[in-house]
Amino acid sequence: MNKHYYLPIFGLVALLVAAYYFRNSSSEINDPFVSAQSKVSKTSPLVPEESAADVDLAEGMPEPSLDKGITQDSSPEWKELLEENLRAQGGDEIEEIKIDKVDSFVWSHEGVSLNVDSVVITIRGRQNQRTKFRAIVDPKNGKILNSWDRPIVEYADPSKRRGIKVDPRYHQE
Amino acid sequence: MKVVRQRMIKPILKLLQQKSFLMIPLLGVLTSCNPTEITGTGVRSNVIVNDGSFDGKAYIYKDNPTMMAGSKYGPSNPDMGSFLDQKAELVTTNTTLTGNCGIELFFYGSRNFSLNNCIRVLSDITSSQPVPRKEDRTYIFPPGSPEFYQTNALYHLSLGTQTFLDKMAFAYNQIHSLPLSIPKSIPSYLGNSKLFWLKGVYNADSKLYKNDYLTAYANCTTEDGAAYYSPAGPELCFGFMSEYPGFQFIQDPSVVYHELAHALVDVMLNMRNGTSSTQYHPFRSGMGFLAYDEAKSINEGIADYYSFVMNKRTHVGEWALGRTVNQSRPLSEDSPYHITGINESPDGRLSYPQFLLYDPNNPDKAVEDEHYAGQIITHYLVALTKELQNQCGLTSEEDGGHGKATSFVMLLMAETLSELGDLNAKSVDAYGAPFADSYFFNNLDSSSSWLWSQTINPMNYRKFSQIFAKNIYKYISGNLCPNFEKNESEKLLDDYGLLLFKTYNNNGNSTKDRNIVYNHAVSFIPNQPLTPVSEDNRRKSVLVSKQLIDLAQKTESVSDRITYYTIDNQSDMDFLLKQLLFKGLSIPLSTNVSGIKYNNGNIKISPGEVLAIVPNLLNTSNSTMAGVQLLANDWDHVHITDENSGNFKPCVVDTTTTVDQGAEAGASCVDSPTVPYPDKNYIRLIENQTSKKFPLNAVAPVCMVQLDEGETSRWVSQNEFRKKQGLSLVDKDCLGYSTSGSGDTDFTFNPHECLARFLPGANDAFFSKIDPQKTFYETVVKESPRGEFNYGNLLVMEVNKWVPPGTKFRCRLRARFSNCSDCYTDGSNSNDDFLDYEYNGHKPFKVINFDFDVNE
Repeated sequence: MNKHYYLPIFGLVALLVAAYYFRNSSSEINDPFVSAQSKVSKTSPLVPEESAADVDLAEGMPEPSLDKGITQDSSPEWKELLEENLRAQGGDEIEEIKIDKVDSFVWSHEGVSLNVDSVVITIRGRQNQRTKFRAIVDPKNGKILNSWDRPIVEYADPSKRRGIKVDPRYHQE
Repeated sequence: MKVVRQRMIKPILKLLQQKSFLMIPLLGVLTSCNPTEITGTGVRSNVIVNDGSFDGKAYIYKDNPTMMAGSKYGPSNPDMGSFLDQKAELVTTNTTLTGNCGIELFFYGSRNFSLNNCIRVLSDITSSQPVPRKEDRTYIFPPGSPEFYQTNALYHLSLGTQTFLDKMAFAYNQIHSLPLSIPKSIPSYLGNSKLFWLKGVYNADSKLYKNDYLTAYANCTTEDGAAYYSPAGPELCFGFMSEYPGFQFIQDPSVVYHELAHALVDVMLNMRNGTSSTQYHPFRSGMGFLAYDEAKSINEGIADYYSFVMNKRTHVGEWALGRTVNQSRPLSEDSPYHITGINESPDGRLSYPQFLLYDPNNPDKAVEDEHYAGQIITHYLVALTKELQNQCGLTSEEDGGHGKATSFVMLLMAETLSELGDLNAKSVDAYGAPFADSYFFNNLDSSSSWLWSQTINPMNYRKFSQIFAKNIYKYISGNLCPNFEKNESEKLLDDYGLLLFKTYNNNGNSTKDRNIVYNHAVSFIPNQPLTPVSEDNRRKSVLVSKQLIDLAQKTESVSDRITYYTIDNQSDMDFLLKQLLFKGLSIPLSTNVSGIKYNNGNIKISPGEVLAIVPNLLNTSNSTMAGVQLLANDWDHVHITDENSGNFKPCVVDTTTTVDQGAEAGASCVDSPTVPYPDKNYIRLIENQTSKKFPLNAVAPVCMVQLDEGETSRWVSQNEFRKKQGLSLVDKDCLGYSTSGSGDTDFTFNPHECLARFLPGANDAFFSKIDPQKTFYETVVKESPRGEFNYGNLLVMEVNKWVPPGTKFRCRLRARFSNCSDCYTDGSNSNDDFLDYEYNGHKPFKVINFDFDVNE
């Protein structure tokens, strides 16, 4: 048989499979959290060997690692203060700073609990270089307490990356 | 334009959006019903007739110009239209250049999870809207146009993403079909948290991760780097090189897959950092810090491996890196691009640490770079894939077993990275959900986990290899492919010099108590035996004692040896600080009492300076040391004697600082059942704003200062010193005090680093390797083409302008390295690894005493 005849047959079979699937599945897109217990289906071919009844179901969700923090006064100029701190480091190389506040929460860390603001900082340089990272900031004084999500930049030729030259005074003949 | 059968196609496309896994059979239907395929001859800038079968399609370049036209094809003005596939491919079913993600997970029943618009492609950072589908319902744009590249970008990114999600579904479904008694790290709630993709919002209303989608800029205008991945977007950028007109990085799909893989590594690292659709850890894990380090090298190695997963080709970047700057990379020892002597025999493997600085294109150069170092990981992963194909009977499959073997490897990868990046610090789960008990099994605990996983005990070649090997033992040898036995796994790791551990650290003890194991938190996980490595298999992996690393000293035989390098000239420091900021590291400078304006460039440490230090470490052993990390962050090395001031006595941790010099040999410097040493929690020496007292169990800054009292002198806290010696400095005149004028208290201020301190974020240096009987400078910097220090080699320090000249400081830095025999275990406890809390003290490290006087 010419192989081209297979294509409509294959298509028909695929449609039948699809129809069967849609009849038997419910739309579960973006639905809310379903507890572990409600997901138990002993008919699943992939049920672990222990009986579902034997296991200690959902030993509890953890409490968020947050607690009541120090309620420090938020400075109305915290963004300006933060920008000032960034400019102290970046100096005249900075063309533009964009600070997007995305959240506020109590940060419990290293023995201190503080109300903090979470921000995304985008900096554009004079030579059009750009960086973006996340940070949490003390809203009282604009101090960055932690930053993360730093970019991974690929340089085509690593040997051309500039570092810091060893001062020639160290190894004078 | 002619469009037919629209009514028939539209509902199918709608279904396709929701059920993307049905795409292949349905496309079969479409193809079978419509044989009028437009062939790909000539210019394909327009479709003459689209009867519906071209909806959402475009012509695609499946590989890069070097692979299509040969290695002599030049990088300027490539004719991309001539490399297009003959058959149009579906790019997206969406009406703009965005893609959808879907994953089907089995956990007591099958569930589909999908994220619409998980990828979007834009031209560059000034664009805001994805290109809409053309009026003819296709994405066929003129070759070489920005829209053409965006279309091709989306095709390859969608293909790479769906391949990844299919492999993650395989991994999830395999491991969650295993007995509950087996501890697993890929969380069963992965679908609910949506962390199979780059989504992580802090809470339901938060915009912390407001974008589900990964944005890719196909025609990025950056020239600073060839390409980048920015997790804060999250976004990818593919740039250009002005010396080659018409050349763009997006023209090379192997580079697209490499870059995408950085995002996928982020996904795997953070799989455990959300537990439902509303509960997320505030931070995200990353792999690699600023400049060269081993976590970053592993990240690059995995990214190259993913190009192999997608292309089945053991080479990456032939076009974008090879034809431009001669920097393409082989991924296997069988490549002709390697130097003589490298081959697939056990002795010919690209082994650690010998080939850490190896550039196959310029083998005589020694450059500290994460891509070169990452080759060791890539070669190991490719070799493992080949082994699995052969050992697991996969070669008879249509693709030679490539698909299945790479799925095995990606399973191992996801298990390994999700454990390593776990900021909730649990490592495993109870049934279907995290356990509530306050036990932690990795990364110390949930509040210090970011610091632990990124700085204190970060991923290096040892840690990665150990957990990866544990997962091979558990999932491959123990389940998927029993033919690939533990011995074979260990031998292969050893061929690469990566058998750097003594046990698999798989007994599941907690981070703070050796007697607490998984079973205390999850009742159905029984006690896990500790599996030792067979020492017979350790042939090439050499371990060296930490006692053999120290600061270099000038000797008669080596008269130009420097103990430490100081960089204090204004231009270098100005450049460095700016570079760090543009790499995403903001350093909290104390602008009121220090700054580069005070820098005098005399290569000495002077009041007010912001300077960089490179301690020149010496390897006194007869083997290479590699992956050397030097920490200058706070740790538990003191006995806090006064809770009102937080003043302390240094603990005796070595023979350098003695009791006669004011040190303490007992009290809280000694481990006891009531007061453990080191402290089990990471608490900084900061005054409690309510009680106005300092904690008695806290970590202290590394730098102490010498206080002269008549005939005697002792090492004391900087807080004690500043109130004596006639200084009387107030808090506001200290380093680290907020410069804000709007408040009167800085709640994170530590007065014990008032005079000299290593700056947060820049208090961790990394050195690729140190050859036997050599210093780092002699091994790497002296031999490098530019004679420069990498940013990652530097510790950045600031000195208070009020420090009197002549003041003596001692900073207790801590060093360890990846191939260290006694940095991770000390022989007690059957060579079980140190617990995480022990990294709060000195036991896993060699204490490096960095002494300096403040100069005039």
